[in-house]
Amino acid sequence: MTGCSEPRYREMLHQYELDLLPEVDLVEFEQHLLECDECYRAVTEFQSVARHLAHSPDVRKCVEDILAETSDGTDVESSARSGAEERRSWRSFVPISLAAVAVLVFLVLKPWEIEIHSTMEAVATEGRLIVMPFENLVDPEDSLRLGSTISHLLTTDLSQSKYMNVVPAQQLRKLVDFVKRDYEDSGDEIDPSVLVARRSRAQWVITGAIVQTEPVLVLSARLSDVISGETLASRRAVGRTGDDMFMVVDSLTVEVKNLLSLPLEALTEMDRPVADVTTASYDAYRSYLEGVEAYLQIRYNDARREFQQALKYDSTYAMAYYFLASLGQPELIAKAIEYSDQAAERDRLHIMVSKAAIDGDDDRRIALLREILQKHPRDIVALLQLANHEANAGHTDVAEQMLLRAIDEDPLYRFAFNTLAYLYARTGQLEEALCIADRYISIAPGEANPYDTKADILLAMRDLPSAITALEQVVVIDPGFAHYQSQLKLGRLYVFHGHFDKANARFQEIAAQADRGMRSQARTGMALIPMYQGKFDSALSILDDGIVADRMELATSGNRGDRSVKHFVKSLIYLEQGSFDQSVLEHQQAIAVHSDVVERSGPLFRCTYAQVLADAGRYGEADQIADVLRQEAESGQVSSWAAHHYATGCIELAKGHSAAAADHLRKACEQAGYVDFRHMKAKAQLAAGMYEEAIAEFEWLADNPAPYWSLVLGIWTVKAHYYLGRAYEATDRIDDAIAQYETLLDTWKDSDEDLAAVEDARQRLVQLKKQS
Amino acid sequence: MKINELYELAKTGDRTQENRLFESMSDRFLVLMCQRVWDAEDASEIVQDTLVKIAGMYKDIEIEVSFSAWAYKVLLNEFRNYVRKKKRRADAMETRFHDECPPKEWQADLELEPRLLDCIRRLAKRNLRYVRVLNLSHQGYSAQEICQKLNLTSGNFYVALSRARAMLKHCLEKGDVNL
Repeated sequence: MTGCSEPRYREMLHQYELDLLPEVDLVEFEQHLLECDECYRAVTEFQSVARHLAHSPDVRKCVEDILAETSDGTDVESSARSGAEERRSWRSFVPISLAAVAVLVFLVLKPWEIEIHSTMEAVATEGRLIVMPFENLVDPEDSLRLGSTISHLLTTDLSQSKYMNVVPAQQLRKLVDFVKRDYEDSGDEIDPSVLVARRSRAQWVITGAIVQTEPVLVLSARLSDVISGETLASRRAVGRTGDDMFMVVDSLTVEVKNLLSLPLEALTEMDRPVADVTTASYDAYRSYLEGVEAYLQIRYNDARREFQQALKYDSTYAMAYYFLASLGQPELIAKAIEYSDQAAERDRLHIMVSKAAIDGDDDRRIALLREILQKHPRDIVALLQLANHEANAGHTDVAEQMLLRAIDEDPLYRFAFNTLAYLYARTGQLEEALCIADRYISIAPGEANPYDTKADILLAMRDLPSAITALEQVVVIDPGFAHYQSQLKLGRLYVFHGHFDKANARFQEIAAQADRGMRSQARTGMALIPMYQGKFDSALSILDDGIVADRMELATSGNRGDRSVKHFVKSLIYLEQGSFDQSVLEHQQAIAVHSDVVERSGPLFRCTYAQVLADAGRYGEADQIADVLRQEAESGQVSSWAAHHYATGCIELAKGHSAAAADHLRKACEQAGYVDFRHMKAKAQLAAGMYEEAIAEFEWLADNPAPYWSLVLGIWTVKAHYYLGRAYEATDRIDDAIAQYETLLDTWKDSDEDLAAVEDARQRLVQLKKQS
Repeated sequence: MKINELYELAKTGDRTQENRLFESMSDRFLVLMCQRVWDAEDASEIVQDTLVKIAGMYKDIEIEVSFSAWAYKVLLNEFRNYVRKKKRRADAMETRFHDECPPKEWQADLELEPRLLDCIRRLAKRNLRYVRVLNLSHQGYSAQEICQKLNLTSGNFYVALSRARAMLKHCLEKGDVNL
């Protein structure tokens, strides 16, 4: 693929190569090729292949033969073949224009003077309409934002009809911002409003102006074809004295619908005045719009303030209550329900969905969402929520389809991109997940979340350097993003990559800025830095300080913080230093944070405790734990099997029965592929002389570090190089063995003295270098 | 260096930079025209005619947007002239003009084609949808029509194509469709 930074063009690449781009996009892509070295290189490298794919008779025959072999006779291509040659005509580079179906001239005189200035009528069968912000000719700065307000109202009013497919107002706002950014960068000649309309895939666009506000409101509106730019009709609505903006918009709605030649049934549809489905107060509506904008940008404090302001102007504004209910005041959903008859039908359904969610009635919530989709198949919020439900139910294909529909409907719908990326990641489709994350970035390059999502996917792909780059971007945009979780992830990755100063800087910032729970985790991180470098005494000291700080900070919160992990890490350090009794004590402390009685703690806690006991020579106690785990597993607690085999394997290894140990640990890994399980399995295999197996396992561990747990087990992660070196040595791969010992010695070059693995590695290295 | 940057240097009169500008345009234009036009000689001729026109105008003309955008328009006009001429000739000969069909003297790359056919067969086992897309595109359907026929969203379509391309490329380089 191309390394082009514009996902839009990466999408176009293979379509271009297969001659599938429509002319408008072809022109755009060709222009891009003149400037983009990445895309140009990708095209030239693949050009011969692409030509063969598109045009070689042998390739065509091959494709037909393959489909003939696999077809059950209902293959869609077979029906497509008849008359296919007629369809193939040379590419038209004249923009497609809609056929005008009727010529109509009429003049209607109503209380509001309606004048018609053009004579074409457009067909609106499956047409999509977008209403652009009105220009304010009276106040060019539009200081009161009347232009966008009228556009919103008109959109809302038109959307009441089920025969209209109107681009939602929120989507328009995102499109305007997005196109404005592109337009400023590209130096394009095309009118940005045209770009917005095209991006929205609208067939028609309404542009308008506020011609006069005093003594009466006068609006003009023009309906145009998006592709050709041709004006199809225009209208001018003049209010009577005393008419407010809502009433004039109502009349304009009627005239626009007349222009579009909707089916006869549309004439008998109930058309409620727009004030009845929003608010009769301009100020309330204005505040509501500001609130929605802030909400969509995840500025929740601002959103909350605006909705509260809207309620001050109109205490019956149902949708303002609806949003506030989702912003930490769930009790307000009752008010939204109370006033829901003053909301549009679709909004009313969403209010009920929200109520069902707050009440915990998931069945009702899902039923209502399905009802919304049945009536409004393009409702992206319903699609997203249902997709989440289907994904949780394991129907990932269905979830994927819904999310893609939502994105098709609104190509700037951030939540859908985010959800889809994680869905792909969860189902192992990591390339697709990365692709979606990049598209998410392209539509929201100034937001932190898309980069964080991308980082998670790159971590799943084990591409740690790229994940670091993505997380660095998150921190630049918003250092406190996700309660500093991203900074924490970044700090940990820095440790893996030996950027210890950078790691420390991240942990220090979190410890200074974040909430108590995160501060606890940051303190653990600070200790992992020296631990990873083999500076165990320093690590122990930092851990002790951290434990004290945790106790003080978290005592009243009931939050355990990261204390258990700190004790666990201390246990590992003591084990490495040969201080077995202290190791056992620390492990007990680790368990005690979660459970006052060891026997009642989870199986994974107990199996590692058994390991520590066995290493300390306390085989009886270790065997007892392993036996209890076996009994639990036999009585139906399936998760205990892995723990039982792990405990037994570690006990056997401590006793020197390496073959039996390897067998048990293999079984443990078959149940659960945890990093520590795999490490111990590899260690046992090495001890049992199963060198190739040990090599495969240690190599896998080196290539696939678990970003968090491999760091907590940092001692083992680093020592794996030592063990791998031993395995290479035993299989006569001298150069590989040297490389592993050198890696160990480099990582632990400043380690505490007298580390056995370091001493042994040094001696082996000297010997090996003499030999080679 | 990018075309617009070369243009800025070339218009100062520096002949070396001018040569670099025209070489760069020639390379890129040829790639574009080889995609649009079957006959390599015709493609080359279109590019040459375009460059001649640009050479005669570029120092004097007022470029409002960007040089590359303007140069591209000149190229596109030359291409349209070529199409019009060809169509008139085809009409005169009472034959159907079909620019997309390969000329009878289609020259396969004998080293590439067998490998490509093999890779397509391997790919079909993993991604039959892509083969369907190819088939429909051979029959002249547009991307939108293909999506409708195969019940794909544009998002699906893009993912299917990009993945298949990566697999094909990998297969041609390494002999295996598995990435």
